[in-house]
Amino acid sequence: MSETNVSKPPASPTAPKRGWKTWIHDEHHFRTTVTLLLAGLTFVTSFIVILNVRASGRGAAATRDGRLLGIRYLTHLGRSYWDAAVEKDLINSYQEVSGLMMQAQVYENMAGGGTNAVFYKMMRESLAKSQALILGQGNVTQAPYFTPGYGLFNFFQYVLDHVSIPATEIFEHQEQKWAEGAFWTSKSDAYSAGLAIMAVAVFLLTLSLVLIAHIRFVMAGAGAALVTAVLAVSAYTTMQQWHGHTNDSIRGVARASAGALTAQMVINFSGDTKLAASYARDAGAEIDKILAVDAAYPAAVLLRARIHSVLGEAQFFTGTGDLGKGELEKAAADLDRAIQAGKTEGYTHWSKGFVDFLRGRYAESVADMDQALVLIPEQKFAIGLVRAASLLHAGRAVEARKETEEAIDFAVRKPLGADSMSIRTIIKNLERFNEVRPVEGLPAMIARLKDAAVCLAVLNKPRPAEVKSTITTPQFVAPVRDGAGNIVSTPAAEAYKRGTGRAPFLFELKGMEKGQSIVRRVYLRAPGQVFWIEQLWLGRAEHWEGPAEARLMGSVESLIPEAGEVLASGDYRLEIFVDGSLKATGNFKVL
Amino acid sequence: MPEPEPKNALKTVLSILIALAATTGALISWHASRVGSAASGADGRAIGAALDEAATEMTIGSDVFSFQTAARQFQLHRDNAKAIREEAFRNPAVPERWLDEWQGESMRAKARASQLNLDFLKTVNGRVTFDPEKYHAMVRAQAESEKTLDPAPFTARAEAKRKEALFLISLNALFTAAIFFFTVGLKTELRLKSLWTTLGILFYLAGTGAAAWRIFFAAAS
Repeated sequence: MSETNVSKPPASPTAPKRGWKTWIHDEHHFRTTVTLLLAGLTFVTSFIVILNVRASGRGAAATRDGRLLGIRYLTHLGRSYWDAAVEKDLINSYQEVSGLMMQAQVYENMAGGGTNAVFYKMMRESLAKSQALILGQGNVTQAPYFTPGYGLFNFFQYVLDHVSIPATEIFEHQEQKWAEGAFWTSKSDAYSAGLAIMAVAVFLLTLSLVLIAHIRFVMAGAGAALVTAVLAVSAYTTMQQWHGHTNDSIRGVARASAGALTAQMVINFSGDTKLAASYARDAGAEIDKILAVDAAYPAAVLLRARIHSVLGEAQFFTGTGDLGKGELEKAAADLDRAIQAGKTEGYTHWSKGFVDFLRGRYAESVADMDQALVLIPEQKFAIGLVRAASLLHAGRAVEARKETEEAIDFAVRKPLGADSMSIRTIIKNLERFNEVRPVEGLPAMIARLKDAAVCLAVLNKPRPAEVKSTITTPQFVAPVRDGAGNIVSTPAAEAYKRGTGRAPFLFELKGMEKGQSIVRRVYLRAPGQVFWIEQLWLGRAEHWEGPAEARLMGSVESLIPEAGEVLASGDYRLEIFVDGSLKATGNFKVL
Repeated sequence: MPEPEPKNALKTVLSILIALAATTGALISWHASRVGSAASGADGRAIGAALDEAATEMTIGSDVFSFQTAARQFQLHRDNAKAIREEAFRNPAVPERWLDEWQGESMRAKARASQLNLDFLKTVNGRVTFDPEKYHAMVRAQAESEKTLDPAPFTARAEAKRKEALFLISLNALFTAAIFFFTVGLKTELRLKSLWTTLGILFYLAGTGAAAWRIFFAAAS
């Protein structure tokens, strides 16, 4: 078909004025338009390809940087922990040398002159030189980690500054790179999808060139529609910009994270709510500054939730601030915000479940814990026990008992569940919870957990065997001795004077069998504190080798009472377990 | 054989130019993809260097710990032994237990001496300490002589390669523009054909020239 015949029909002098519809129905015009559209499409597509290559390159670079930061994180941890070990050795050496110097001084004074006194003086001087050498090394021997007047080291702060904070900073940078990589990859994916659709559009437009009648308009129209859609989506994708967090924000999050961690550790391990709240408030001030300029920083939002949670926890357990209502509500709001923003890690739901538990929203707590268990089933022990406590408060006692037993059974199989630190924290919290918000069944649950803690630690079993042995309540006494050091009487003592090194007690055992385990656990409630904190170094675990019946004198004392270590002031509670079963409890006080 | 009509001859030329521009663009895209692969390769080398660095640093960390603690304990016991010995020389009437103490301290110092790294000791105020900085520098340099520990040169190479690939891919805009103008020339009236054709040729030449410069000159430099 010649061009003259098809594409250039002779103009009719009588032809009426024509619109675009008529114009496009002309074969020549249609083909010219579609051909030019195809050529233009090629041109536009090349731009989408450029954008795609750029996005995919940036995505690959960000992902690579994320991996490099991951390796740097591990390198930092590996190196900084070894460095910390060197610093710890410096502290140990300093303390050892200081102790020997004090000993030499005492012996020197006792010798009262002569060669022995000379010897101890010489040793003391030699040790002083070693001590000076130690103080000239490392970082932990310098301010702010060392107080020369008292010879005190703040190794925890050293670890935070040199290990934890830099590690968190690297980790946050890594998280940012992962997010950046995902952002550019998603852009690249959008462009790739656009290119695939563009190929379909090209096919449809090409098809329209070989078809006749109205179907060619349908094909061309569909192709043009697809092109328009791709252009619109590509333009929208191009306009999306990556917004990372500034280095200052990342550094601030790392510092606040260390503060929040410290606050959590203080409240968990020492039970000092005031100190924990002080650390939490400092960390909160840092986070507020970050969120003022970077409100959408997910890690900062989660940290703020954690800080409010610690503050709420401190108020709840001390019975102040309307049981921490305000702080806990803020924590819950931030956690909800994080969950809505896609932070659906199990730990976020776990935190939310704990906050809801303290808020008295037990049904919500159970739901949160269910969600957490789906995401981190390996934490079944700790999560299951909070869930059980929530069920108990919600009036579902049978389910609570079942959940408790399931969690304990799980702990036998999973090392994470049998983590003694975690068990201690749960028992400590529930004991205080029972004082603040008592509920029927909670004391039994706490007793069961105490048995389980000993069974898991000593017997590696979930529950004690049937124990027929009995132990009388330990009676704390203040033995009176004669001149030869023999005990002549044992009057009862409820309180010991300040500076006491050991608290003796009498108790009787009956029905004992050889090889039975006897575990003693000692708790201290320090003056002004609300928690009973287990004193690990005062506890004992041994096996019975004596007769079936015996009357004994034991004592609560430090591992090396000869070294002059004394019992801190406060209320003490002694618990004695036989084969994992709590058999006796006694109390005393150190003024 | 009859001469082709001028219009048809131009159409043939334009069609050939379209095919040429498309082929050139495809070849340059192929080259760009190879450059992109080189960038990915450099990324991999960067990861490898970072892993080597991690292994080296962790080894240094554990070594420094053992050498430093050994040096510290050695110095402590040696100081004590030396002090006892010097005093014993000054005062011959020392009790026998001094000799026991001296022997004990000497033996402890000897035991620690076997754990010292004698190449990296330094003296501070007349006392021996381990020099961790010197040890770190030496072991790291030794490792670097065998393999690259720094990922930075590889990441820089990857970035350069990505830029080159993006540049080359961007040239496709010039080739597709040329194709567009040739196509317009093919479908428009004769009097405008030369304009579109000229524009197309200009774009084609610009694209080809830029690609040649980037591939043969800029990359070489």
